[in-house]
Amino acid sequence: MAAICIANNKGGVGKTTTAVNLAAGLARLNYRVLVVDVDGQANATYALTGRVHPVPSLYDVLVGDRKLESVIWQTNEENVWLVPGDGRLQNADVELAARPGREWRLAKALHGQNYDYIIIDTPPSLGVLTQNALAASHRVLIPISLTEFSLIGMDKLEATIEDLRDQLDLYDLEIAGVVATFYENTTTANDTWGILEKKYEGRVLETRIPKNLDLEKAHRENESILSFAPTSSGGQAYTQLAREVKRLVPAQPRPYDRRRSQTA
Amino acid sequence: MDAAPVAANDQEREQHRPASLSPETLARTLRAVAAELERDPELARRISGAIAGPEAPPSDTALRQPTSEHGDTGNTDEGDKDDERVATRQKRSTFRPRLITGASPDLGPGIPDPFTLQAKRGEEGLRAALEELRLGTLRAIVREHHLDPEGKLTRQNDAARLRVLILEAVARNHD
Ligand SMILES: Nc1ncnc2c1ncn2[C@@H]1O[C@H](COP(=O)(O)OP(=O)(O)OP(=O)(O)O)[C@@H](O)[C@H]1O
Ligand SMILES: [Mg+2]
Repeated sequence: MAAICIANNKGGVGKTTTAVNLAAGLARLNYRVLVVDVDGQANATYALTGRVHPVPSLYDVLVGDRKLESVIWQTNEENVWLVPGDGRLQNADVELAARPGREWRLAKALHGQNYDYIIIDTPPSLGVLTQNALAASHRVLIPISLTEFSLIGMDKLEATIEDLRDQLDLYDLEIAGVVATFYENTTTANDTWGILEKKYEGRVLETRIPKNLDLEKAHRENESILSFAPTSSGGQAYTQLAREVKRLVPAQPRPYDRRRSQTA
Repeated sequence: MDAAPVAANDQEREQHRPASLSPETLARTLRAVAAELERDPELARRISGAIAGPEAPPSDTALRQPTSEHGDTGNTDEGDKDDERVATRQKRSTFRPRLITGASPDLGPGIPDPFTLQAKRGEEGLRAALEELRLGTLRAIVREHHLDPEGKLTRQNDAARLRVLILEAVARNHD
C-alpha cells in the first residue's frame, strides 16, 4: 500500500486528470487502486463514475461519522475504486477548523484499507482538506503545467509540505516528483521545462504529459484515457507515467497504516 | 484556505455580489462555475443563450444567479433540462446547496445495474436512464455483466450501440 497525493495549489494544472489516469494506468499494471476525491468540485468523481456530487460521500466521513467503507464505489475503470467527493467539501475547511486532530481525519478513516495504491486528488488550495490529503500520504506528486506563469506560487506548496512535516511529524512524507503537464513543442513550454528541470533537479519525472484534447474528451465520457483513447498521445503518456510511478513509489504488500506518531 | 487563482472576470463580477454572500464563497462558487463553463463549451453556449434569450432577465442578474447554487458545478449532460434548470435557478433567491446523485438519483452507488433499473422503472425507464449515461459508464455496465464476451463492441467508442446491446440483453433476460 502506497498513498500518493496529487497536489498543486494552482488550479487547472492537471491534478484530477493525472489522478484519474494514473490510477487507471496502475490498475492496468494489475494493481488495485483506490482514488479519494478530496475536492469539492468532485471532478474525479465525475470522471470515474459520471455522477455529479453524490451523497453520501467523503464529506460524511471527514465531517460526519460515516465509515469510509460505506462510501467506497466501484468505478467505470476495472480495478479502480473511488471514495467520491461532493460540493459540501467546499465548506469542510471551515467546518473542520476547530476540531482537534483535524488534519488526521482522512488518515484515520483510511486505516486498514488494503489496496496497492491510494491516489488522492486535492483541491487547488492549501487548506485543511489538502492538509488531510498530505497527512494521509506517503508521497506527493506535483503536476506542473508547462504554460506561462505556472511556476509562480510553487514555493508556497513546498513550504506548506515542509511545515506540515514538522508540525505533524510526517517524517516519511516526501515529494515523489514533479510531472510536467500540458506539454507542447512551443518556446514557452520548452523554456518552462528548462526552468523546471533546474529548479527541481533530479525530481522531475521523465514522462511529460502532452497537451491532448482526448484527455478532456475522456473526462467528459466518464472514463480514463486508457479506456477512451489508449493510443492517443495522452494515453501513451499516462501509460508511461504509471510505469514510472510504479518504479518510483513501489506498492507495499501491507494494509494502510499511517497515524500520528507522537501524541494521539 | 489559500487564495486560488481567480479569473479576471470574477473580479469584475464581484462588484455585483449580493450582500449575503461572503467574498470567499462568491469567489469559490464563481471559480467552480467558470471552470465548468470553460470545460464545457456546450453548457457555456446554452447558458449564454439563456442569458441572451428574450425571456431571460438582464445579463448581469442572470449570470449571478447560478452562483448562489453553491456546490453545483452543473451536470452538463442533460440536454434541454439544463435550460429549465437555469430558469429555475433564476427564480430562487435563497442560498441553498443543491446536491444530486448524478443524472439519475436512483442509479445507486457504483456501476448502475440495468437489470435492477428495468425491474424498477420498466423498459422505457431503463432506456431513458441509459440515454443519460456516457461511454465510460455504458462500457462499465457491459463489462460488469459480460455482455460483450469478445470485447469487439466494447473497444469501439460507440455509445449508441452499447445502449442497444444493454437493452437487448435485459430484454432477453426478461423473456
Ligand atoms: N494534458 C492535457 N491536455 C489537454 N487538456 C488537459 C490536459 N490535462 C488536463 N486537461 C484539461 O484541462 C482542464 C483542467 O485539468 P484538471 O481538471 O485535471 O486540472 P486540476 O489541476 O485538477 O484543476 P483544479 O485545480 O480545478 O482541480 C480540464 O478540462 C482537463 O480536461
Ligand atoms: Mg481537480
